This record gives sequence, C-alpha cells and structure tokens, in this order.
Amino acid sequence: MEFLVQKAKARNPDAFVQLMESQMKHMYKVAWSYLKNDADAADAIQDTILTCYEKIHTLEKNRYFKTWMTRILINKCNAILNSRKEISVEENIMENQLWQTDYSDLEWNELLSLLDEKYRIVVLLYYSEGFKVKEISQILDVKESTILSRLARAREKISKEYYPELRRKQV
Amino acid sequence: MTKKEQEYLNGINQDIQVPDIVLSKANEAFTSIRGKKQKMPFKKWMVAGIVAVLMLSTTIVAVAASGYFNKETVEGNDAVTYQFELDYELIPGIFKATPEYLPEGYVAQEEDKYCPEDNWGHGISVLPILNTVELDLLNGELSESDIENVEKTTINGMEAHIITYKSQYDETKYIYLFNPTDGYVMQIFGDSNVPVDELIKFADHLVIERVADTSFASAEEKAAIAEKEVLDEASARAYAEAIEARNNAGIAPDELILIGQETRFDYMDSDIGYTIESTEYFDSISGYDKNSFYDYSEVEPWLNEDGSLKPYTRLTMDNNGNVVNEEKMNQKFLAVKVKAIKYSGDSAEEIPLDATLQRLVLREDGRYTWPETDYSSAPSENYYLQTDNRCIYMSDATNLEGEKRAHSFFWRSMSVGDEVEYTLIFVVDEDMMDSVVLEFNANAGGGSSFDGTTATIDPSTYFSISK
Repeated sequence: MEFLVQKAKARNPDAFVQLMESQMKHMYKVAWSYLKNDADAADAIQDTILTCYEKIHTLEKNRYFKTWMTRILINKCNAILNSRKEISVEENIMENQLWQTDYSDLEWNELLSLLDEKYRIVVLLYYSEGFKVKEISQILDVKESTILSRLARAREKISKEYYPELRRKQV
Repeated sequence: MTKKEQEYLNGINQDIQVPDIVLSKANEAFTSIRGKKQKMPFKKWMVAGIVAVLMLSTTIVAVAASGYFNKETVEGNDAVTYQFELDYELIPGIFKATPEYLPEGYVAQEEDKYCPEDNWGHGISVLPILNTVELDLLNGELSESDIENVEKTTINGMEAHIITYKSQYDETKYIYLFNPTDGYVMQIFGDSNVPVDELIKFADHLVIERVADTSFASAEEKAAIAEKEVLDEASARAYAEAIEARNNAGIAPDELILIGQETRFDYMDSDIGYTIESTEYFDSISGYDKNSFYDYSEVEPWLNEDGSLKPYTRLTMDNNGNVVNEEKMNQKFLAVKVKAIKYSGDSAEEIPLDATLQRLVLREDGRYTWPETDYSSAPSENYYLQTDNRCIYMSDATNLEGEKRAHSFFWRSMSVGDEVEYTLIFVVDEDMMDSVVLEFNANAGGGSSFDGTTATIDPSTYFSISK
C-alpha cells in the first residue's frame, strides 16, 4: 500500500483511486458505525475521498495513511452528525428492540448498533479494522487509557448487557 | 473470551458488500479527481494543432461532421457503456449549468447540489460537466453497472438516458444528457428521495452555458509538467526500490550498535547521546516500584503470585493480515540499563528516553532482515504488554502525575550537560529473546529519509541487546 500512497502523493489519480478502492469496505464500516445509514455514509465517504486527494501531499509518513484517512472520515461523519437532530431516539429504539434478541442471528451493522457510539467505533477500529490502541488514540484524539477503558467496557457490555439470560436476571 | 463475545466479534468481522449507493458516490468522486487532471496539457489536442503543430493533425481521427464526438451505446449484462469517438480539432469548452427549476422545498445546498430543506444532503446533484478533454481522460468511455433500466428520451433538447438500478438498497437514478454539438456529457444524480419526474423536470430546466474555452499549456509548460511526471514516477519507484533494497541487504551483525557504545542523535534542537550499559532477561518483577510502570493495571493481570509472567495467546499473521497460527507463548522481562547525555540544545525541550523493540530474523547468510510475518495478541485477552513494542517501565521517571504522566511519562527535561541513568523494562516472547534489537524513540524513523527523488534507509541505528 505504501507504494500506492507514494504514487498518489505524486498526484497520480489512478494510483489514488486504486488506493481508495482498497479501503472502501473499511471506510463503509467506519462511516456506517457513526451514521447508521447508507446514504449518509456514502456522502461522508465521497467527501473523504475528495479531501484525501486534496490533502494527501501533507501526509508525512506513508505508513500512517490509513490512520490519517480514517481520522478525516470520522471528522466528516461528525460533521454530518452535527447537522442531525434525531439520533438519540433512533439509538434508544434500537437498544430496546434488541436487548431481548440473541445476536448470533444479527448482521454486522446490527451488532454494532447494540453499542453506544463511543464504544462502537473503538470496538470496530480495534477488533475489526486492526488498529492499535495508540493509533485509535490518534484517530479519535482520545487518550490511550480512555481507549483501553472503552474497550474493556464494551467487552463487558457485549458479555452481559446483551446476553439475554443475564439481561433477564438483571431486570 | 466468552462464547457471546466470540459470536459478537465474528459477527462484526463478517465480510461485507459495500452498497451500490456508496460505490456510486465514491465513483462520482473518482470521476471528479480524474477530471482534475484537465489542467495538464493534452497531447492529442496539441498535436491536432491547437497549440502549434497543425500539420500533424492528420494523425488524429477527426469526427467533426458529428460535432465534438460520436457516441456508441453498448447494453447488456445489466450494464450500459458509452464509448466516445472524440474530435481533437475542436477546442473543448468549459460549461456551467444553472437550474431554473427546483422541486418544491428544495434549496441549493452547495454548488451543484440541491436538497429538500428537511432532508439535508439528499437531493439532486449535477456532476462536473464532462467535455471532450475529460472524456478523453476517461479513455472515451463511461459506464454504469447493476442497472435496472435505461430509458431513452429527449430532455432539454438533448438525447437523454434515465438510468435506474437493480439493487433493493439503491433507488438512486442518473440522467445522462449527451450534447455532441457543443461537446459535453452531463450526469444528473437523483437520490432515493427524488421522484423521477421531478429529476426530469429539473434537467429540462437547466441552462447550460459555455463560460470559457479550455486553455492548453504552452510548450514550455508542457515540458515542465512532463518532466515532473517523470520525476514523480521516479520518486515513487526510488522509494519502493529503497525499501526492497533495504530488505534484500539486511543488516550485518557488526552494523548494530553494541552494548557500551554511545550513539548520538539530533532530536529537534538537541544533541543526545544514548548508551546501553547492560541488558538482562529476568523472570519476576517482585520488588519493582509500581509507580515506575507506565500503567501497572495493564501488567498486574498477567502476573503470577511470584511476579513472573503468565503466558498469553499469540497470533501470527501473514502479509495480508490473516491469522495463520495461534499459540500460548511464555514471556520474560527484559531490563535495559541506559545512559543518556544531553550535549546541546534548548533546556526547555523534553527529551524522549524510551525505546521500542524491533524484531529481526537471522538469514542463512548471517545477516539480519525484517520478518514477513507479524504478531498480535488475541484481542479477547486485553493483553497490552507488547503493544507497539514499547517498554512498560522506566525508573527515575519525572512526569508522574495527571496529564503529564499520560502523555509524557517517558520524557524528561534535561539541561545541556545533564546525564541520566535509568532502566527500561520490556516484555519479550521466549522464542524471540535472541532476535530483538532496540531503537530509541529520539531516532524513530530517523534512519530513513526520502527527499522526493532519493530514498535512504539506514538500519544502523539499531542497538544490540546481546553482549
């Protein structure tokens, strides 16, 4: 990938397109985990592609491309979220519907929806996208210790809160 | 890891199909990016005589009788492809489209994007108008796949194709407008919420103006751009070749910095000398000051009662990041005694005293090289003792409280002439004890440089930990 990044920095559109196409699934998962709908995710990804092309010459180290690009994408998602008003209602409905569901039958995006946003993105970046804690800290501009505690809390939620039998006992 | 956690992680890691709407928007961006190249000179137009060499225009296919282009439409396999035969003698225009009609409740969101006020971001987009220069950049071809239908009609006095898609997730549509007389193709995108008849009405009331001619580079500019293209290609190649050469050459054992040998690095405005005084593998950290661990809470769960380390689950990954092996791995502590001296620089500047471990493998020719495999802990275990190959402990740390601890635990203010001796502790897998070297963070990446044309990869900043 570093070679493609280098070529993209040299203003080679074909290399840039190839590079971004290789990141499409990653971008979609991250964008969806924030925005929870395909249309907004598509907008965020489109803006990210254009911004990355415009700014890629500012990327100092090629190996940090994915971290850098993910941070741009998350900024775009946050901008879209800030223009919305009805997110919390949607999340509550989702949680109420799903606490009684066994999630072995759920799709990846439904599973992510089970977690609050701050846990969702950390879990996705760490467990699904393979970022290190330090990198997630840089992407989200949050301390490493916070990332670690969110991961631990998320695991706790996954194990307990959504485990139907346990949940019923708690209720 | 509980069964539920495993189910969850398996679920979020399942392979996915990126929805068509996302791909469609991404492709819009890619088209725009490829279109930006229009600022560069186009050989075919230049050869055709627009700049200078009129006589050579006979080498170019001229299709002036049909206007700027001839179009052939190929349909089949749920796809439609438009192939354009372009006229390289006519000067391409630059066009601007202004809508004279918007569906009720729609407003201009930004340039060329019109959305309902209560559904911000979702509406009608007019993509950058493609003139023959841009069509040429696209190799004279446009295509759409996974289509449901192509309805051919006339809109705004132009041949128009209304394209809808098969995917249940994608109720978006495109109107293509073809204008060979003036030399452009327009793509008008309607999001799922836009009724087709409104999209057609919008397209029918667009006023399209030619606002300028495409300007071509002078011969000198063309030569400069061509030269830059060559240099850019060369620099990308140089970088890749330098990486490959570094990997092929490897490192001779005598290129490593030995224990007791001082090496100086420029860090910001400071000149710092580092010497490894001794190293030692050991089993137990009983008796070590807990406050000198960066985060003792990360270490504690992995300690037996006697202070030795429990095994952890190590995953081995290939070049593609696929896990190829999983095993329980025993581990040891590695203590590295270091002396750092500040020779010059600003006393206000904090100096990083820590280091990271780099894993090398010994080749048959006796040289070290970088491994092709990578390792990770099992995510389920919350194991962070080797994260980023960093150290977990530093004696004599001075930044021990609050934010300073969180961000600058391994850093220290030093005045010129200051000398500090301290111990770093790392955790190392038992089977890698003979293959790790150390790199100080003050020099991280400093052994490599790339000036745009020449790459230098200097591995000789690795410190041996073996006597």
